[in-house]
Amino acid sequence: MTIAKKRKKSTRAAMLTLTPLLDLFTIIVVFLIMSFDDENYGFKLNPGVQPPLSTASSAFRTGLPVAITLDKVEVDGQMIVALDKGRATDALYASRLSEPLVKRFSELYAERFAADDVSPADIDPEDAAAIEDDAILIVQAHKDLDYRTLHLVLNSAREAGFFKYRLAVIRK
Amino acid sequence: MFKEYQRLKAEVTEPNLIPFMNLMMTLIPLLLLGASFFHLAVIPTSTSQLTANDTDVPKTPTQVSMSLVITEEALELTAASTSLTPEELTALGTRIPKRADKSYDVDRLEQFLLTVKTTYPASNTIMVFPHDGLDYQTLVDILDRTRERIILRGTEKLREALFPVTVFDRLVPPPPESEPEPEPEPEPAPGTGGEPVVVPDGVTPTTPAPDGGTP
Repeated sequence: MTIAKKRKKSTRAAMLTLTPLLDLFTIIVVFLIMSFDDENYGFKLNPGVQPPLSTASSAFRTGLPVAITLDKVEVDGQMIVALDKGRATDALYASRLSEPLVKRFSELYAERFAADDVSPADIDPEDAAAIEDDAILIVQAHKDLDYRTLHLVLNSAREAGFFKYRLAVIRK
Repeated sequence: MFKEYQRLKAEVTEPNLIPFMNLMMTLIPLLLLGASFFHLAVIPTSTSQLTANDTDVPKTPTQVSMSLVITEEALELTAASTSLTPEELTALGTRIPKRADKSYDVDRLEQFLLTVKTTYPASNTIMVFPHDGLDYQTLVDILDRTRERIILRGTEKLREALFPVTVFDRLVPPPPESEPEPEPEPEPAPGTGGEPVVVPDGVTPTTPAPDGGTP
């Protein structure tokens, strides 16, 4: 009798309970939809950069990427200047200009933005405010850098014709 | 009756969840590719573009241009305008020392800038002169308070612009003390001598004149 009962039980088909798994997947999908972000325009954060936290809310826009990590300065993905724990050489700090940086910025400016340059004499004063400068740097710098290093890069870019910068930060 | 119950029980089957699971398995990798686990933003800034004969002093009467010098000990604010008297400009300047815990008093800075902004609502530009050793995170914290004010209303965050146009520059180190000081001119002309940032007459600069970022 007992054996017969056991046999009867074992003949029932095993059913996989999918409901808890489905619940889990639904939660994951909702979380991912909430964190979906299409604003970053393909921006890639340099792995060596830990940007500062900020309350800024300005939307991300395209520009020439510059990354300042604790050991190098990269322009458009290419290493230009080596840094030692976020510090450049005293000679660079004294002049506030890095020749390799100015050269690279100048090349990129000539390649991408020089064609759009307008002579100040050709600008109608009434339209001057409407003219947008597209030569913009997207600067991703490590939060522990000092201003001296940041200014070295910005000043070198300024020398090459880049006057506008967007400092990449992580929203608080 | 019992047979009817048994028949109904046998008919109840679980819904086929496999297609739904397949959909989930497709959606999750797709959403993972576009997910961002931190949100990026940008702080728009610029460096001075002024030449030797230019001036940064605003031309409109309701506008003042603020200059913020960040030293190791304090935040120093000065103002520039074409339409204000030297006394009025002096009143728009202040020095905010660091707190006891050695942090910058950004609350007082924001409050002071709010007062200026309320008086001269068209003002939007601040020139920032950080000291060389200032770390980037502290600089961003200060810029957060000079650019806008966040007002909390319940759970809602309202943003009120203060001085959203930020221009970076640096100060020239003071000349060695051994060198003789040049005689001060009676009325220094603004914007001359390659100084892009102009401190108007009547305003006593607390730091050496900025160089506009040129070495």
